[in-house]
Amino acid sequence: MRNAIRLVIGLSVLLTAGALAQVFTWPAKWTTAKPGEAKPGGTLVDYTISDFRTMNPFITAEADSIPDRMTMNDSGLVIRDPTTGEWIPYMATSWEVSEDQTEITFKIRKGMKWSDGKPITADDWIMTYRIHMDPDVGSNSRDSFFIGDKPVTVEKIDDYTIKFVYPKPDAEAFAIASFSPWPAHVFGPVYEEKGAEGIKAMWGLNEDPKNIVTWGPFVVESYRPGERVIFKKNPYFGEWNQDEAGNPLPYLDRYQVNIYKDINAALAAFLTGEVDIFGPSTVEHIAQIKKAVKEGKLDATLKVNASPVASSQFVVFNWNKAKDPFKEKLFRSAKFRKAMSHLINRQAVVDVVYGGLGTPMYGSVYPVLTQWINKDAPKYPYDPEKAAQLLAELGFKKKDKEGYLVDAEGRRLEFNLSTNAGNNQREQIAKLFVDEAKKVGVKINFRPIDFNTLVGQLLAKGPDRPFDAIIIGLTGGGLDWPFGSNVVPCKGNLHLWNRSGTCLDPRETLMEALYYKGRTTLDFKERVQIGYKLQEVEGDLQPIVYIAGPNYHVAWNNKLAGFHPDEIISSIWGAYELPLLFQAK
Amino acid sequence: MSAYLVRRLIHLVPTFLGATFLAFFVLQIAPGDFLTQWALDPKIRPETIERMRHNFGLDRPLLLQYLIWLKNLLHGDLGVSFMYQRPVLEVVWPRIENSLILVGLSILFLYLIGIPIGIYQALRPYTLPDYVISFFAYFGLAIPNFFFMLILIFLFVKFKFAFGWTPFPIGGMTSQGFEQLAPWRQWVDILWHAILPAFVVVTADLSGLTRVMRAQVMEVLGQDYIRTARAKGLAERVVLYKHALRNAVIPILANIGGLLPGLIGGAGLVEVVANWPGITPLLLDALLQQDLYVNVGIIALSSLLLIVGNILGDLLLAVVDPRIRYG
Amino acid sequence: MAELRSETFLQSAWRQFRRHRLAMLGGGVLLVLYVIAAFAGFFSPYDPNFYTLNPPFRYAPPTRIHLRDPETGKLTRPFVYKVKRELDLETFTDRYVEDRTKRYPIYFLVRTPDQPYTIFKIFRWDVRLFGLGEEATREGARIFLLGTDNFGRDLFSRMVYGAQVSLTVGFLSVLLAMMLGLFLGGLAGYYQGTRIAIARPLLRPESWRFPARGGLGRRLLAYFLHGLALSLSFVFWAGLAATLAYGYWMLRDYSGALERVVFGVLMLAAAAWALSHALWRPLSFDPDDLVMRLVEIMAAIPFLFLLITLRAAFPMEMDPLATFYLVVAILAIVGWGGLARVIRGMVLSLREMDFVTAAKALGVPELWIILRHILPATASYSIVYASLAIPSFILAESGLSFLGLGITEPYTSWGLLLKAAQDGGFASFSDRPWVLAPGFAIFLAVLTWNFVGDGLRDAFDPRRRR
Repeated sequence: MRNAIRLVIGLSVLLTAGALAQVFTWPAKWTTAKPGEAKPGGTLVDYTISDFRTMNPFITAEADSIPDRMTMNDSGLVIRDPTTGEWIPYMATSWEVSEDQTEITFKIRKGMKWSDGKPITADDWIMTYRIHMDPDVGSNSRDSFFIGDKPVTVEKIDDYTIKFVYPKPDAEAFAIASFSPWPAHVFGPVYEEKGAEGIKAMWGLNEDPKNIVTWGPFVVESYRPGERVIFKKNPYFGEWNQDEAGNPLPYLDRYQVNIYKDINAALAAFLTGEVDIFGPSTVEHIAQIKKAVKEGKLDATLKVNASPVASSQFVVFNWNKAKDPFKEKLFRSAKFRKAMSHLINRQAVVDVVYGGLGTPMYGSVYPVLTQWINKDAPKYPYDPEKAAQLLAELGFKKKDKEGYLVDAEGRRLEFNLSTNAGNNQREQIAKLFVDEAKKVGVKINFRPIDFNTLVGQLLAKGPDRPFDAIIIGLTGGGLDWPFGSNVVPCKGNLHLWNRSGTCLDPRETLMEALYYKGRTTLDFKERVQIGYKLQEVEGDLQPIVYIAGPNYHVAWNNKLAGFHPDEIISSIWGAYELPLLFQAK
Repeated sequence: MSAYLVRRLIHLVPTFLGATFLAFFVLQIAPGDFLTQWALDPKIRPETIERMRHNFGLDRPLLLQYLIWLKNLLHGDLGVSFMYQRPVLEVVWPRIENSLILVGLSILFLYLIGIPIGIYQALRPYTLPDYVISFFAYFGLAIPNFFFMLILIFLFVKFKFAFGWTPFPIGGMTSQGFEQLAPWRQWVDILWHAILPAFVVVTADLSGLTRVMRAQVMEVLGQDYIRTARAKGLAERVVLYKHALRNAVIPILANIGGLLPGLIGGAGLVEVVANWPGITPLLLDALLQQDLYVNVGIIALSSLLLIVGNILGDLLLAVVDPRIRYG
Repeated sequence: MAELRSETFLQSAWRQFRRHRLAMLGGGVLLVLYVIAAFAGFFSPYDPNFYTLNPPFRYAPPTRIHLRDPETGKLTRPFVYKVKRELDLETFTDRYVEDRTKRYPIYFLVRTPDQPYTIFKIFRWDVRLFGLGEEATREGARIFLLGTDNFGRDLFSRMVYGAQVSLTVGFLSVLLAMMLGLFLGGLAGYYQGTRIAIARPLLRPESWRFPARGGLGRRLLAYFLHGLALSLSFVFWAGLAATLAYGYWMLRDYSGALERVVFGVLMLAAAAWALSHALWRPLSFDPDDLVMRLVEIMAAIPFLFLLITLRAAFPMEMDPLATFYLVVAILAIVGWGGLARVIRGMVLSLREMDFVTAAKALGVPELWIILRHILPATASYSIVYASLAIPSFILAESGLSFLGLGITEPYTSWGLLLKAAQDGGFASFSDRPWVLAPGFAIFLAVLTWNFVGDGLRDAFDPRRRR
């Protein structure tokens, strides 16, 4: 009897809480702040290098945008736990995966409200999805709702239940479902009435901030073109986001983002305390900050070499040169590409180009994705002697009178190399490569070309493409399956080395098969194993010769606190969770 | 006078058409377009890019794009920015206003500093102060503006480290909390921010103006009517201010129209380094991204402003100098 | 007679110029700069692109030159020590420490067979003004008068080579701008009021009346020229008609009903105008109008915008040498308008002068009048213009480099070197001030050119003489 009564009391407590809001509690392990240390109030001043272009989430295309800043980088039903990398429910409370693994049904958290006080329901997701999918709107997110050529669909079950249907099981299913909802009561009527054109005309930069509505911790308060955007706290966010002590989040009252076209101006602002967070991109910035801190001019924390960045720099050789069989044969030879890899002095690249603060790369998986890196995949590090030996095996044994290697028929080992003009770092990498190659007798004619022309050459299709070798980089690629959907498969438009449309090397075919196998495997550990295998094949094939990337550094002013613990500061997780930051001084 | 004005305004039309067509043509010769940059994004499919190219009208022939642009111009529509997805005027106009504040202030500085200095030099030619002033004027001329601005920013950061405050803000156009200020305080705030970059802009033009002013005053002082004025016993002050200076200033005023282009261009790179949200940072972005209509729109508007500036310069000259009559 | 007078004019100008002390000083400095630039290989201790990764010299400071023997303290032959890099992980700056075990004396007129150079691209040589010699270079000793860049390349050598580009960019582009300005300005001024026909009316009898005088050869030539002009007229009218039709046809899909009417009316008016000219009236233009409209159009686009926009039209992928000439051409295209406007004004008044009228009356050919009588009268202004335009073009080149649109590697210019310093930001001031040296070089060149320009102006202007 006593038990029964207690049970009833317990239930009633739960029910009352439910009527208020189902609360998401932000784990204390995501921050270095001691429990109860944080106080409400204060402002965070961040900066960005490129001006914002719109407040409209459906037409934004920049890497850094106002909608993303309002929604914690486009968070939604699920977010990742930075300590484990796993998906956890956020705007959902739970989910169910169907048996064939093609359907996920999410229970939406109850009691969430938009910044104008209206409730957040399944309709908001449905409307957001519909507008993103409308080709006339031109949303940049549209393509993320496709797996291959087939779209993912979203269905409303009831006000607080929503179902995602996938054309096939997919490793990135949660990533696809994690997009941020936008208020259906704001966008819906316009969309029904005026269609895509109506949506495109909404929320420009001179929209009255009063009309901007978000679920996120901060909502736009004011914007000055080319100068700054100021966000203020969304009072409804704290009703369902709390810290472990039960305090509403975010702590900060305001969040400001200054726009600096020139990085030196941003550094000056950080050094003088006008900006609270700075991402040093060169060793010079770090030295300046160190010095200011050491001399007591600035009270700041600096995390140097927190992690490598999530981007790559590489040389790609063109396999499609029907009009030049000599070069085509050369570029299709894995031995040749391995020799080239031996000629890239990655340590010198890190020293000269990144000022000593970079990480050499040997494969397509970014070094920052440590759980994905197969340490045993074949590597071909800097070793001119081995390179010379491999080239000799290919028939380049003699040197001509200018000191360049020639084969038995007297054909010189020579090719053209380009990169996008104006990219200093890539031009310097190219210079180092050219100079090293010259030492063993490989003649590389380097010429930077226009970015657009370069892209045109890279993406050209067919048996004869107009380039020899190009240094370029790619970003993007997920944590769930870090291989590009249009890079690895032979038909992909970023299958840069071979765009004949078919696999030419059996290892290419194998890589493609492994790619699809991994993509449809939902078990993480199993997927990682497939990824390892893929990296081994890739290492042996060397379709792309990877070079190096810079490291990620971050500095913040100590008047703010609540940053990530050191273990999870990285280019992927950043240095903080916005709602958990607070003003310490 | 009004006939002259009408004729100038009619002349404006072919100049304007020529400038915009030139801009349009030159911009479209460059390879690729706004959408090329998306092609290397693994998340975007090629079909999407083709569709957007069609939506933006970038698949049409060049001449047609220009004609359509002209047609829309008659409605006061400068096209839509690809980057911002908004009408160009809405994107560009606030930036032009900001640039004009900076340019206006630097013109003011230029005349307030340049004319007195030139007169001072003319009254004491070939003396030590004359040489010293000339040297400093040259100094400003000989340093690239963008570099001078960086030097100043560096010095002000050091100043802040040493004393905890700075007499002028380091970069930017408004202070934090600008929105909460009363309107007149907002203006003071903007001007306060503008002083440093305006000063840098002025340094480049100062030596030219002081040299012209010095030469003018010297020449006028050698004229017969000045000798007459002196001979009839007028006070030196009256001779100088009433007779000499008036005549000496005329050619300088005539030059105001010609000064505007230089100053808008000159404010350019300084705007970037000083983080002034003027038109140059926007133009550089737009050129880099090949945002066609923003580029053409900026050139159309600034050339319009320049032409109007030139006409105003002519009118001003007619007001100051009774000898000039436009018929 | 004329010969004698012009000589005394030059002589008196030279006398005046010599009295202008700053101008003489400036001229002297410029002479030195241009000589160094011309013989860059001789004056630089290393090839401008020479670097080694082992030992590294990233941002090495200027090498300390020792004059005294460390043991005896007596003056000795200048020598340097080898330096070794230490990356200070506390402050993230490179530090270079002298290794005092071995002295490397500085030699003058030293040979460097593995780093040969050419003078004016013709003479190959390997003697350099100063250096440490091959042996020392192999052992890792270097002499960097102005430190190094991030590759560890000698900044002094790069500046000497950069002078070649920076100093000639200003000079060549002014030369080109002057040619354009003098030619077009002179043309506009001299032929102002003369109408030049571009297309002949097809229905007027004169158009079909072939010239029929003179010998057979002359007649054939006249026939040929007339026929050519006539067929070109046909081509012109046909082209114009095609363009109009094309424009109308293309536009019809993209306009509303009212606009179509308005546009149709405009098109019809244009067509009627063209037809009337094609059939009855000659289509002619005043060269003055054409040139001055062009000047106005160029002047209507702000300097910097025109510069960047023009550069953007050309691919970045050009050969570095071609980029150099392109920059020259762009600067000239942007800069000729002002000169043309002034020259036109001068020529307008000159052509009414008595000596020109007299020459015309005597039947002197027009070309001769222009070359011999009119252009020389504008020479002094043009020279002053040139000397004052060169420094502004040197600055413009540095602006283009600041935007990454100027000269590219492996060539270098002061603008490009200054951009590297600017990119380094505050570190360039506090940690390695030697990278600012190119800024000083720009400053010096601009300053001295201005001094010379001022001197020339005073020298050529009789009213300013004293």
